[in-house]
Amino acid sequence: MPPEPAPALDMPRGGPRAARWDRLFETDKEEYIDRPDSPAACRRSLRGLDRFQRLTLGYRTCARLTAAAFGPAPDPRVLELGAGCGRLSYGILRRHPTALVTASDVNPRVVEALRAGPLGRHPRAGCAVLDATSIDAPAGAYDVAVMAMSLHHLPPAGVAALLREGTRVARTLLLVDGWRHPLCLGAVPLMFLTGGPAQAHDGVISLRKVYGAAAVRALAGMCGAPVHVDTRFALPGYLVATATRAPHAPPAVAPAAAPSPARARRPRLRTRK
Amino acid sequence: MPTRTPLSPPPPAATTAASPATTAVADLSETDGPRAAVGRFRSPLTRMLLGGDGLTTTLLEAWAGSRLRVGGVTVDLVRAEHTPHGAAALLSAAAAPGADLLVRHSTLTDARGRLWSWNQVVAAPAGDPALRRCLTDPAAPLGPALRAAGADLGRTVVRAGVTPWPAGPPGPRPAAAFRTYRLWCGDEVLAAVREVFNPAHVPAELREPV
Repeated sequence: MPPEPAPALDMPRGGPRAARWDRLFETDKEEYIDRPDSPAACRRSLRGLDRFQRLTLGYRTCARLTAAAFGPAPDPRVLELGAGCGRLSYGILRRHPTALVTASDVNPRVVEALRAGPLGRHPRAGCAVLDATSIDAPAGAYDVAVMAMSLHHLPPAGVAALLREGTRVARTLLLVDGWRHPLCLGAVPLMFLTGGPAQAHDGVISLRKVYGAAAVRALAGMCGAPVHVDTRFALPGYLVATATRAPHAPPAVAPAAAPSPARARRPRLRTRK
Repeated sequence: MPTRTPLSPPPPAATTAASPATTAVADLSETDGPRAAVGRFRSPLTRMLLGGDGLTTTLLEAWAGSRLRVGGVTVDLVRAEHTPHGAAALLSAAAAPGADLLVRHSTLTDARGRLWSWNQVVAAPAGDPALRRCLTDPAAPLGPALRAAGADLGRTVVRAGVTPWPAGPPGPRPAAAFRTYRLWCGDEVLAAVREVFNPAHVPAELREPV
């Protein structure tokens, strides 16, 4: 069971200054794919999500964004976090003939399925069990770490840990998720068509749980590492966050033990207007 | 407060069963205890490295035949509940939920650029400023820096086993030997340290498969 988020990081998903409507729009309901008690609905939702992403060219868009993040590197090393079915990793491998891709997921069963599929046989691909909030890899082991459509499954403290760890192991951390706006609920009928009621259920909850750009920037300022985040909108309705880390700088630490209330009072929010 | 118990020498070699490389984490100390876990490695050099109470850097330098330099240093402030591998639990009182801890990641490479180990250090940020400077210094290995600062160091191995080597190229990850220990400074736990050794240089074969 994941630990409860620390109080200081328990912010609204729309950001520390989220509007009242945004706070009402937010939900704490769980998607089927986050619930172990409904495996059949989980499978239906995952299949529907896969169809939805293929239909809306989501994998292709994420592969293009990933390529833009590693730029002209000759043999880019890419780490996909929360790989799920691994289609994004496969898309990157097909699109870039020299890319070395590691597809990872926190669920060992998912990784076993990835190893049994085309990624397991691909000479430039690897599969690994990795927790995106605590990555077992040295600093700078990858050029790009990418997490697509999974950010909203993490609590705020998990996002902060992901920003810290992702920027440690990779030169650039790329996060792609849905854009936070009620108008995006217009995609729910298409989700119903591609995945039935299960995916429509998960789609509505996802769109109400996705993080706003302000929240991602605020969490980067509170993650305990010198992380800088740029956020932008991408068509048809994605939040794209690109996080990088400043060169080594020892964290500012008070000489005495600083319990969390004192830390919460420190003005460490880095927000952009 | 954890009790400090010196690590005794590993038991003598008994069997020579081959051990396949594994990509799963196997904390041998869960079933055997740390001393017996160290004793399960086939290579005596690996057993000496994992069970030693001295500076790891010195042992690795003797093994590598050259000076090792520290690299890839990052130092972050992390909530106790998000420290890697539950390391905060090894720090006793300093690691109350919600407390901020220093997490330092680093690597040791030799003069030819070969990677020898990947290290994670979790420590409470408060305490002696000279020791804290050692923790945040990106240019010096932690153990020698602490000793130069006058720290009276001791180590208690709490976990040992094999884990996928995290720094290799994509593809199957070979098994690497690791150990986790409490680093003592006098009677206080200064840090929890996890060291993973490159299986290309430090053999990780076990006498019996896990």
